[in-house]
Amino acid sequence: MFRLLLLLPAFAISASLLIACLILFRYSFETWSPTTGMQPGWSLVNYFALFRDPLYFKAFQITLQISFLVTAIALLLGYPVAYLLSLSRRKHLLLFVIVLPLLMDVLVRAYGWIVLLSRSGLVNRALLWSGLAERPIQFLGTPTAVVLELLHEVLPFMILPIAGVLQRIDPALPEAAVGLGASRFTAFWRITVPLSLPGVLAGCMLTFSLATSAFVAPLILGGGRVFMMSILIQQQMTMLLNWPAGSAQAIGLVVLVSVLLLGYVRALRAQRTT
Amino acid sequence: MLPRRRTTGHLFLRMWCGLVFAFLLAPIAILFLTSFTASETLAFPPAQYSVRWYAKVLQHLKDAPGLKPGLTGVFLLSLRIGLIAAAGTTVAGVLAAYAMHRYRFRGMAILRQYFLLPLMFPQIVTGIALLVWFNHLTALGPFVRLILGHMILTLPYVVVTVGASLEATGTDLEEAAIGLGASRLRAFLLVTLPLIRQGVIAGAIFAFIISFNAFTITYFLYSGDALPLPIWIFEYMAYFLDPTLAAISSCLILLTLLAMFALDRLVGIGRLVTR
Repeated sequence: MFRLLLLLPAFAISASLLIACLILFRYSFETWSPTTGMQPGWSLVNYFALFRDPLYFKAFQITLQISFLVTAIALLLGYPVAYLLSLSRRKHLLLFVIVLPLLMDVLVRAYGWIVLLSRSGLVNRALLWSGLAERPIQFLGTPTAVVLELLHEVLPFMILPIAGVLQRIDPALPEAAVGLGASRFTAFWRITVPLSLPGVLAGCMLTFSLATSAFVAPLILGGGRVFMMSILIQQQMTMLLNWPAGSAQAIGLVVLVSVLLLGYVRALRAQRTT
Repeated sequence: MLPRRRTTGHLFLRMWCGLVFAFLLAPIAILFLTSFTASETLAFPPAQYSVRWYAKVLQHLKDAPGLKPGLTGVFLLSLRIGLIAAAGTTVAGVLAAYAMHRYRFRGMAILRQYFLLPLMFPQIVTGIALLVWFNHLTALGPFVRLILGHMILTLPYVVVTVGASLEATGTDLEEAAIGLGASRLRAFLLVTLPLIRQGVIAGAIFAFIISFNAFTITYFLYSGDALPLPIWIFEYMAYFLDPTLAAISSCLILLTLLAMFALDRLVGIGRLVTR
């Protein structure tokens, strides 16, 4: 009895999210039209629209494309950093730089990217100066800007799980491979990399799910023109006021992210058993 | 892993990581440098340097007539929301983590996942779900809405950090205190709580930072009466593109760095890798 009392406050806080989601779920079955507004009912029309409406399909497609791209680049950029982190003696300083984007105000970070990518910003200056571009390139409002901001946002979530796994690999294993005549690169590629795969999987799942539900990057760097699912949901909810459709899209996003996170949990479990 | 040696591979690794770190620091560094520009635009590099935009920030601290609320009020509101939300989730989180640590019971693994749910739940969905729900709860004022939303968001951080501290402390000392005649409450307050102090403070700081910076949820819950800092920045960004915001951002980054040093002193950020 006593322990239930201890759990009650936290339970109540988390329960309010569940209640809110149940209400959202209920709304997703209602119907809506611009003239009549919301009509109570039990209809699956919003869910069918998720698959049929070309606009929704496009949002879904762009979201997945951007998430794949961000995950792939984050892995390419992040793995070496995680490796260096597991070797380094000055771990502390490196960790500070990696964690800083995590604790920063998201809008400050987005603003930093706006300043970097604007027409007279550093990136365009460098491109003009080096002759790679003849006139300033419009980055803001394009998928490129969204991908760059997202990368900055998700890199810690790629680096930290991989570094965690790399740190637990017994140094004797690649050492033994070198002792048996393998080159350092072969030892790394055939021993260290396969052993770190659970961390890679965990990092990719986290990164992908964060990218699919990203809101600030498409809103600010994409200017609402890079039509990801979060922008679609935001427009349905706050501009069109089509809550039933917005609710169904939100449920769709939750299902997509849950599937990815189940994969993440399984990857963690596999990591513990090895 | 392999001992360090000056090989080509190692050199390449360091250069690659150097580029990634440059990427991570670039937007922060550029804001610092641009905030000292003398010109009206954000063009980089600045032709001349000045502190005029910091002077402009000082002007923004006051309420401008008819326009927006001043920065001071906005900052204090965010501070108030952050402190109340962090205090609330810290109490709730410590109690829950303690109950889960002290009493093993069936369904605990599921309960733990349940507490961690908001951590990975898409924030935009949390935001609109609360928006829809609060639409039925007209009695809740805008301030209370924001606090509840931020408490949902920050609870997992407290549960995780306090849970880790409890795990590291064990139950032996508390058992000993009870064996020597202390009541449960006394044993918790005088033995366990001081032992897990660092985890509790770290969880509270985490909760505060997350609440202070939360944009997505806040975007769907704020109103004109309760306009927190991230929303103020967002609206300013939409209308003005002068370097004032770079100066404000630089101040916020300094605050973040201070919070990180505090966190590092208390728990050590190395914990983030080893868990």
